[in-house]
Amino acid sequence: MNARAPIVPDHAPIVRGTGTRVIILVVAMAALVVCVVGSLAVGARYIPPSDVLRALMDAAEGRGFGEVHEIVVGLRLPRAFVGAVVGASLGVAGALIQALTRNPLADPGILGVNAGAGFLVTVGIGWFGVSDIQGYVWFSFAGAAAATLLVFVIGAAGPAGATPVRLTLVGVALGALLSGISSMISLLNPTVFRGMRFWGAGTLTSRDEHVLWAVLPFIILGLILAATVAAPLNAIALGEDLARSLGAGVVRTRITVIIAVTLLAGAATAAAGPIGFVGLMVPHVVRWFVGPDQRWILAFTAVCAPILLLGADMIGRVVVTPQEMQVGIVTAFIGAPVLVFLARRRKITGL
Amino acid sequence: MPRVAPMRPRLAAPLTVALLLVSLTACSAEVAETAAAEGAETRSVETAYGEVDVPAEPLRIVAVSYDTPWQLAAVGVTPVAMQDYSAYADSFTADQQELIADTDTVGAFFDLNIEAVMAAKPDLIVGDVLEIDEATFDELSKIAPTVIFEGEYRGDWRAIGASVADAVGEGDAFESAEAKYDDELARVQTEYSDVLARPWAAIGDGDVEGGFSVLYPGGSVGALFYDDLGATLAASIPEQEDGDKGWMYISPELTTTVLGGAEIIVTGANPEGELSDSLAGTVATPLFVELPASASGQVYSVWSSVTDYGTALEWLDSVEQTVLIPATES
Repeated sequence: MNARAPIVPDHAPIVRGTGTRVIILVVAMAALVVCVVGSLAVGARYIPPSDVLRALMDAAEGRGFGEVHEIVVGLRLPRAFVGAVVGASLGVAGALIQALTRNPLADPGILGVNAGAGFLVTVGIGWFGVSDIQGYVWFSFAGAAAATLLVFVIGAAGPAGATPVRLTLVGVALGALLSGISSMISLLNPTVFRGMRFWGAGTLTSRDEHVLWAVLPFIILGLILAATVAAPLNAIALGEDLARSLGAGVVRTRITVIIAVTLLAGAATAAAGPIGFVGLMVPHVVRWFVGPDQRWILAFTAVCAPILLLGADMIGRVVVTPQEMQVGIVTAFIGAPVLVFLARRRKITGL
Repeated sequence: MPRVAPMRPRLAAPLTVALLLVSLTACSAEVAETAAAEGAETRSVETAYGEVDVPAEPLRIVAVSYDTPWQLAAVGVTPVAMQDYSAYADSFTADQQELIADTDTVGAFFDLNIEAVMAAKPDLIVGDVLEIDEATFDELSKIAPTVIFEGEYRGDWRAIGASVADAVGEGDAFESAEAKYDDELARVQTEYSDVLARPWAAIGDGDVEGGFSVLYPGGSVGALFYDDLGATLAASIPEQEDGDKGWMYISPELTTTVLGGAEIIVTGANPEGELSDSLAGTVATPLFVELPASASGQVYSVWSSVTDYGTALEWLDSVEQTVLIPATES
């Protein structure tokens, strides 16, 4: 029997009442819009806001050319949208995996998604001559999907079935194995080593609309699946026996969550490379504010995670000019102290 | 009742390892003594790790650093063993490929195989401090006299090449090659002074897609264009920050800002003049295509992996043919 006692939150949510939550969610959405606009205005090359606006209006009318047009419309606009969808994907995937494993400090990498994506990108560069993001996307996505599937198949073997603990253990083990093999190949093959420089740190630079269109269907599907499992996850948090008595399909919910996490984290990693801490931090902080209801956690996370990612990307663009710092490095700089803070708290916010 | 393992099998493995280590140590001492005995006449050489006595006329030289074989070849010396360059073969000229094709190997870049060095039975081991630290130097010194040199910066082939040539007794050959290069350099500088006075930018791979790095005077490649050739650095290129090693990554957004002032742009390339995948992507971006240098067709790909005066002469000839002559005519 896999039933476990429900985890009781250590404190009441800071934000209470549906009306207040809706208002704050709308404010968060407004903040996301500000971040997207800021993403168009801020960069290594300073462009006055009036020029940014003119470039956007020209683009809307189907005209425009020159350096400013190319930077705002050609580089920053798709980058902002890719950042928004990648952030939402990583955040929601993190929220789902934390709910599935009932581990408040879990992130999508725990199922081996990042390691699987990285492994097949390594193979793609080394043996199939892949050299640009359009090529990385499909290898990365296939690697993420294959790794998650393998974790599920191995984790489900045996009489105990695919319990969260078994999936976590298998995911961590497989992730370590694949990461080790990827590192070995990179160190032995100079071509792979050079190619992985553009992917390994996690970046939104030069991600154009082709990347966005390539991953968007998977992300939309993943978000829809996430929305369908929010209520059953609430029931499962009360304990599996109670969840069954309430009519929640425990196995079906788990499988749906794993599919959603694979789609979301796989697509996000394919588009931007491995970006850590977003899927860990945002759901955790959101849970602190809105409480353990997965419906609110997923909704707030889908809005707040892109704010973090776009904010980190803007910081990375200006902090070391004329160079850029990859967004994966910035989120790590922000995430590491936050993780230490979370770990030092007397109690972790319950699920 | 727990079963006690027999003593003999448990001791067998450690004893075997111990015997192997003793025999290897004895073997290395033997090799060193043999080398010392054979090279009766020695002379003293100043190295990065102190003074070392080397054979006056070494016969079996092993090159343990990446650039060393070319520095030896430039003064007419062929090492009996060198690194395994197969993973980087595309980046070498035909002459260099010929040299590495039939020579024994002693490990790869930053992965030296000490036993392979021993097996090559050297009477002199040569390298530079980038890959050979003092602990490795101590290990190599047990095999044969080992000379490790240091330049002023990474890839300082002039200083290290001079020391390598002196260590193998070919200092005169080095000076002769240096004089030949200097004469040719002076001719090129005089003949193409107008082109060299125009604003230049030298670029390499970036750290993000669509990005690039600018190369500065003092760096291993930038020094060739700016310090040796005397090309003029474009004013639009930002000043190098303190502590940089001769290059700086640039955001794709700053392509026009940084390279817009350059009339001539030179990019790193392989010996066939082909760009790396990342640089090929960068020069195809709309911002790069709109640069004045691109519009006038003055973006040139130049192989610039210079390690000695021999390859420096090849580089100079390549620059004249692929950059200076076309730029003069444009």
